[in-house]
Amino acid sequence: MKKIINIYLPVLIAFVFAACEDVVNVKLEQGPKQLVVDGWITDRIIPDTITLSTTAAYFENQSTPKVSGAKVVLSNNEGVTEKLTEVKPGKYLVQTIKSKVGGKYTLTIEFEGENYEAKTEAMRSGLRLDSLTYEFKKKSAFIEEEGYVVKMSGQELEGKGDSYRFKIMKNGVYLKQDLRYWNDDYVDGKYLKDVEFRDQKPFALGDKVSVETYSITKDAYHFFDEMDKQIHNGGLFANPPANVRTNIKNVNPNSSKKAVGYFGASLVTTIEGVVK
Amino acid sequence: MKRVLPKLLLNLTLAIFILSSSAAQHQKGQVTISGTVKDASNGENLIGVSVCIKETGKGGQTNAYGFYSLSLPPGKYTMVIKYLSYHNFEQSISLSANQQLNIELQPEGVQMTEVVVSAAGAKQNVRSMEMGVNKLEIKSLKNIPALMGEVDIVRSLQLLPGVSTVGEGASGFNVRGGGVDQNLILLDESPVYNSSHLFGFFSVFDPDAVKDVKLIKGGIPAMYGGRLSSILDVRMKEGNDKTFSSSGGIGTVSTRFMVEAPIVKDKGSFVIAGRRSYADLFLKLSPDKDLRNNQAYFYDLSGKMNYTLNENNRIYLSGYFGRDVFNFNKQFQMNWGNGTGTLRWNHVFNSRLFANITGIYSLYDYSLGVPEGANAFDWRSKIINNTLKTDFSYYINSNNKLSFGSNIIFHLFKPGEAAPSNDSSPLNPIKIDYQHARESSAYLDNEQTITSNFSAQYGLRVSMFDYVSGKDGFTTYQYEGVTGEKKNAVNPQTYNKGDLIKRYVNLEPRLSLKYELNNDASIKASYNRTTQYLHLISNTSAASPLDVWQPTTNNIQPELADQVALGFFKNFNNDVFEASVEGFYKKMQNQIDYINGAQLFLNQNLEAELLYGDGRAFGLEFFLKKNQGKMTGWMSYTLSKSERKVDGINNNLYYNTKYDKTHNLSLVGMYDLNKRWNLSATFTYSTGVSTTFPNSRYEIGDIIVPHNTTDSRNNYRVPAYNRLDVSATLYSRVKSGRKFNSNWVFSVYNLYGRKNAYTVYFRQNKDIPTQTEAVRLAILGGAVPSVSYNFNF
Repeated sequence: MKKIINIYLPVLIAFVFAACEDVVNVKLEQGPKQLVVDGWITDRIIPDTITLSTTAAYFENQSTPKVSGAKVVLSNNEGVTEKLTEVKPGKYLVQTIKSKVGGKYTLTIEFEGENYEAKTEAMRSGLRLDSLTYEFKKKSAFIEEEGYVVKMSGQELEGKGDSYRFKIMKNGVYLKQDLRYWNDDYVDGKYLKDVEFRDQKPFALGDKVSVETYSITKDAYHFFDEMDKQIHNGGLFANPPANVRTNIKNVNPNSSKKAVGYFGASLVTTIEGVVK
Repeated sequence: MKRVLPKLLLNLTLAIFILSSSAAQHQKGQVTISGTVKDASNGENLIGVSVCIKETGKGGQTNAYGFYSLSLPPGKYTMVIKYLSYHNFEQSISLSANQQLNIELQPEGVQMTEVVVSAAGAKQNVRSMEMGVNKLEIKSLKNIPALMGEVDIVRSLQLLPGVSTVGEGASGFNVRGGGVDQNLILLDESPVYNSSHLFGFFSVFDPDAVKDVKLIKGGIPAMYGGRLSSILDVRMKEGNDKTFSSSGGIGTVSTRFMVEAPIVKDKGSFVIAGRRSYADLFLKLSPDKDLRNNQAYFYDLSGKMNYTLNENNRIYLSGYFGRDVFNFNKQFQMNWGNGTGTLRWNHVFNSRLFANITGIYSLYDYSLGVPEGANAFDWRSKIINNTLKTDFSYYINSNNKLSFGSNIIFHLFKPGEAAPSNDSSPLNPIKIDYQHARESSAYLDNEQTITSNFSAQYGLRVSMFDYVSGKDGFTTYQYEGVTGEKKNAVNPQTYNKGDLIKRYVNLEPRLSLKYELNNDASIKASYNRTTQYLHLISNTSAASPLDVWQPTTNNIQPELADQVALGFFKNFNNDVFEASVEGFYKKMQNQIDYINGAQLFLNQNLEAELLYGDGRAFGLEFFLKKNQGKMTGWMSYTLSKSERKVDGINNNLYYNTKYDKTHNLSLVGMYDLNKRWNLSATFTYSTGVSTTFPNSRYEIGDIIVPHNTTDSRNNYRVPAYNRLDVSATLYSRVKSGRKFNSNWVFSVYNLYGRKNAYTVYFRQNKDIPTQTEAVRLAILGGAVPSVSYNFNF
């Protein structure tokens, strides 16, 4: 519901008043470098990787530096421990451990003499999508570009607390800067029929669509929610800019070195279709 | 109601006690002259008129109902009444016993006299006890350039010292470093919870229905309470009790119409005023079907009637209802509005005791939803309160005026209910528990002339807040966890219908002192403590109509503020200029803030997301006003600081509030060019609002996230704000014997089209994803011209 407000209010404001946006020059200080972890393990056959990088000046305008040569160890609650090998600069490959319902996972990273740790858990897949449908939408005051939107249908499982992240692929390529997350707060146990993926660039007839549903923890849901708020921070009713939470902790709580980012574990279901 | 009656009885007993003791006062050799002061043309009571006795140089002011009372030794006197834009009144009186004298003042030429900036009498600035008080006369507001020609009370307030806003189109206003929810906005004594139409672009008050506006920022008398920072007292017109009259206007945004007429000549009258925006009517002409099906409008309706039963009893009934409605092609709908109702009985017990008994109803509600389709839902929230209050003014003698009274408010909060609006919607219904509370208070306040140049006003307000269980029972929790993160609800405790969950009692002392240095200058000082039991839960840069009011609970403490102020007041050039300098320091406790990523809507455990801290604000306010002549207007400059310290934010250190503005300057000028043209201009300059800028970035997938490694809050400011508005008013020729008058107002808002930054935010470039940029959002980025036509007959 909040999403809906976020979509309509800016339209409304822009519609009623001549609000205008332009890019301006701002001088910013540069903060100290911090470790950034972006890693998800799944139950998919394709191997998972953990990406390590560092923060950079906000206006650096190039990809942030990758962290090479860190010692990265993953373990689960069944006593399995594996040291991840760096396959590309900053990319560490997970070879044996896979997500399982209820599985608990710990990631440890040794970087520049500091030890970091992240703990997570794999939740059940609470949403079983069974079909995708498509609707053609004409250009209008609220729709920038005409074309097909994708809608999903499926059963949400009974029992509150399910959260998900969706990733959408168009003709085999993930949509860019695509951040979609949801929880069952208002729809627990319901059959969802033709729920539209909002805010998407329209699809064309014949496009191949694939929707991946990742089960995530409530904490990961808040991570994505805070990230969404932080990256969409304009407008009359923006929340105050605030750092996004992280589950990466320095093992030494007294150290001034901190890390950001997220380590999570998901079960993934995929549904595919063709726009028709 | 059980608890109201004892209070009422107590008040009545007190009144009777005073009545009997007043007889004793008589024997001291004083007699009283009392009555009401009215406008001779329409019978409106005149508020704040100085009534003076020439021989003694002493006098008083009429109250909000035009009532005055002066006590003197018997003898022959000359009564003098001066009120700007009215002819002076002088009458010889011979006092031997108590006497009643009702006075009607003749207004000066209806138009094209000097524009009145303040209704205050000539020396009011220096002589009255009031400090930190600004009065606005609607007549003068109508000449100030207005956004899209909509005469706007709240926007005009922002031109006064000590008043600021977080930005263009932001709802409400900030007074002396306080939040928007810390202003008690009263429309005929009824609280108004959202003062804005269209988010914050226009205010909810129809200027045609309003008679008098007073903003109290400091030295708040004991009769007012319930909010920390200010009182905005808006009084509606009573209606013309002499003859039928009407006025109206067609503007760029809305059309207005007002009629007023006697019910029984000189005894009773009514006024009805309505206003509706009409921009959406043009949507119907649009070729785009989606646009044609949209609705976007606001309206308000105000009405008031009064009837004088006899010399000593008068009854008033007033009401307000306003609403904003949006409907987008059946995909999304939203509406919100305030409603108020006031029933009041003025009773004059005798020449020295004036009483006012009032019943008040007030509500604010909103609803939004998706009317059709797979996600159809309907979401509502509402706050309702009922108030019963009594206020007495007792003019003890020429040196003491005692005010006392009490009130009780019954609050009902419905924070949020959402339900699917059709069968296919998968949404589960959700309802946040209703909350109930009783807020009661009693006050006693005396205004005393101690020596001929030293006066004091001192009083005490006692307030009590009971958080109670509703008829279905209530469950409270305590919250445990790390400060700064979402806490866990623990120790549920259930209560049955009517059970008291938590009681708070607060003493609120108030004191104002005035020392007159000479005829034209005075020094004033004040202290006040205020308590606030209702809190607006809002974590957005501007308050939104969807924000929910929340009572003080077992977890949320009442907000407290202590304010001291010192001021110097001076008139010069025969009262042509009024000037003041005021300094204030305000300390606030139990201020509410929010954890990062707080979920404030439809959350049964809202308190888990709240943080609490202290606030402080201090500043210097300079004000210079010219009341008379062809050129009138004012200059206002405020130098101030407003900060907060909240555990869990900014490393637990003080940080600037969003509305902290170091410099805030307003210049307002109005010039009578000739008999028909009036020109006016306003200029404002203020420091940019505070915001948080990142000092680094990181990547999650292909998304770049701005980050601040120091965890600071509001470490930067957006660029300074400045704006020039101009307007010209062309009046129709005045012809004797013709009642119909009209004028055209041409205005340009933001004349030089400055793109004032509402926010500066950071984002990833859409086309080059590795590139990041700072974006300035200007809400009104260009000059906004408008024309409106106004008439009255």
